[in-house]
Amino acid sequence: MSKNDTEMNMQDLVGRLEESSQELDDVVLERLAQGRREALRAIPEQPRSRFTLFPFAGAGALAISMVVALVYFDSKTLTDESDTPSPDVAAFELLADDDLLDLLQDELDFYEFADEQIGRS
Amino acid sequence: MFFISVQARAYRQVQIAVNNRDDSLDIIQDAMIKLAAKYSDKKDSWGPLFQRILRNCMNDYFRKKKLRSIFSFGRESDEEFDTQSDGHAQDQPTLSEQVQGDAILSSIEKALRSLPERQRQAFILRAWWEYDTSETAFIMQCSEGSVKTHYSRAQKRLRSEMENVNEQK
Repeated sequence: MSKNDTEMNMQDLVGRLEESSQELDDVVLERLAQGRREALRAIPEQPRSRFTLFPFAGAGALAISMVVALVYFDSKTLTDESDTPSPDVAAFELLADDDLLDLLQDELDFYEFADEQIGRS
Repeated sequence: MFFISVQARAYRQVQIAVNNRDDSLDIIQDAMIKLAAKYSDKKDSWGPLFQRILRNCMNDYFRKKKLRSIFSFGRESDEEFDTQSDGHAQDQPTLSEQVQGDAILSSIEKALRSLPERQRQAFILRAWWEYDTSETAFIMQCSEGSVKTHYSRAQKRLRSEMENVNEQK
């Protein structure tokens, strides 16, 4: 048997199968229709997609970065505040600073001169 | 629309393999529901996916049936399937015998049932559904080389079976 004969044979076989599939009885067709309806009901309302997760992932990343930023700046502010003395402490430090008092005494003549000049005018 | 276009052929495909109307319809319905539930976002690939699910559903069916037959300890000997043809065929009257009385169709079904499962799948998918080798390999979860081998052997065996039928006439 040649290859063409074989192919004809196979085509005929497939053709017969195809014909038989078009001749289904009412009971089978009804059951198939029922199966289709069940299948359509099984389709999820919103199909799952990897792209639908992107907004949630973006929002999550943004929230995390905001929290990190807040924690970072808050800790920095606290550090700065601890380094900066309150006004009372600063005045006390000024008074306790001997070098600075000496400096002021050196300039006392200048201040007396300036006071006289202002009094004359 | 997809289900309407494939349902009749898929039913006949399963019915040839399973040889039981109700079981065939259950398998088709199960496959349709699984496809719709899991792959509603991949409608472009529904054809091969449906075939793959259908194949898995049929395998589950045969597995359960085999288990039932093992645990029944011969009590259901009337329902035992013919292990000569991969344990899938029964000697129940087929749709063609019941409704059409078509002897040729009956002999075609018989010839298809006599094939090993993989060969029958390869033949049905390649020749009837007209899937190419790579799609058939995806459905059957095997290599393209295996598909070619199964398909070639199936053709050879079917040709031999059909020759015998023609000689008997």
